[in-house]
Amino acid sequence: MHPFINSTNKVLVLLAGWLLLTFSISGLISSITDANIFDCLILFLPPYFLCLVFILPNYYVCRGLPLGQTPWMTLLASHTLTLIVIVGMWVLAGEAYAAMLDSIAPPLQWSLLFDTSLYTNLALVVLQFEIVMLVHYLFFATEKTRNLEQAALKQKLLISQAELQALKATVHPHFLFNSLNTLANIALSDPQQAHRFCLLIAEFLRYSVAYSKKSSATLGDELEHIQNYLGIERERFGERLKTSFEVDENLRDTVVPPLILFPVVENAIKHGIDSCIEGGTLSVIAREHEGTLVVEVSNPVDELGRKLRGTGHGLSSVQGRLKSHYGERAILKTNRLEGQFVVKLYLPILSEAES
Amino acid sequence: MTDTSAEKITVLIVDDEPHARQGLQTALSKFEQLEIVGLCENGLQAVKAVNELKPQLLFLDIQMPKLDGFDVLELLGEQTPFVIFVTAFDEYAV
Repeated sequence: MHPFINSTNKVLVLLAGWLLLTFSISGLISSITDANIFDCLILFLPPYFLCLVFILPNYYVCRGLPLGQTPWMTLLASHTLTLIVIVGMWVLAGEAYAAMLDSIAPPLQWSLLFDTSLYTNLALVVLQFEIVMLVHYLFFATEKTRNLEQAALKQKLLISQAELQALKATVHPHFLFNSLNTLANIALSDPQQAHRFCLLIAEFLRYSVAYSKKSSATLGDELEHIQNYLGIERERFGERLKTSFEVDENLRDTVVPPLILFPVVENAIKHGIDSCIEGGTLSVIAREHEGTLVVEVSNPVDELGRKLRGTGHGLSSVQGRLKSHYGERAILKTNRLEGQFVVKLYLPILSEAES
Repeated sequence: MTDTSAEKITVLIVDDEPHARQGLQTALSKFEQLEIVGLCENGLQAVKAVNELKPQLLFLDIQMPKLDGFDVLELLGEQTPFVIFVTAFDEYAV
């Protein structure tokens, strides 16, 4: 359906506008030819209604030939051709109508009146065609803007969904489930150790809950959170999990999005260390490289040993969050080489005041 | 004494988490009719241990790297002793 006549209101507005225009045209022609204005109305009202009917479908031609994407020769040729066809049909219909009036309502010479004002009318029909064409293209332009705005809104929604997913993953029921099972086993043999383990989980949860509401954390906070997490996992993995941290101390105050490292490390445990029978070393390196903070998380991976099918969801949510925080200024890169999986985060170095 | 030990049921524990193995060992040691003959950390060790020690009862974890509990059963085939699955995997846990 044509967008200008897809509701009753629009049809009424269009008809009112058209009526006003046709009255003006009749007035104009009456003043040029000295004919009675009512006669002019009788002669021109129906043909100009027909003109409207001919011109409106040009919408589909305009839609098929979007500005900026169609070669201008094609544009010019198509619209000229459409115009010629419309004008031709309009003149034929007008002549036929005037001839009919001649036979049913003499003595006024309707055909003569139509012919003497033909050039004025042709100019007006062409003008109407041009105006309607411009309105159509204007309509497409605003529609495009609206679509872009909608796409931007959708992007925002996706980002907040990514934030939510990251948060959910942090206090994943499965993680709590595993931790409780481990705690139950530790409690049987070593109450002191069970006590320490509980404190570790409490500290881990405290950070997750507190920082899920904040918009920034420091790299130092994030690293401590990861240490807590690895402390919990070490109880499950025993000798299989070894860790190594190499951190440039000057970077600890750098501001980063909260809980941005956790999904990366969790991924390294779930799909990396846990896939290797002998386990391995999870290493975290934070350093500065050409004014950028680089955090590198690497772990061994045994493709044949993976317990879980990877969805890649953890890393893609990190990527989404980086994009929402830094746009193009942050990158996440992954690399798989000789049994090692490496994730590198490149972040701009920002202090508390700048962020 | 020797007579009673001969009647004991021999048990093998297979779990990749050290605390889970230890916890199970502590729990099972309270049953006098059970004798724990070995602890295994993964599926590979489990298959080897079953062949060597011929336990009558297997406490078997499902989620383990490389060979999981089901792979172990498949490899053991006819030699499979009685099996009790031990798992923290909520999909299989009853």
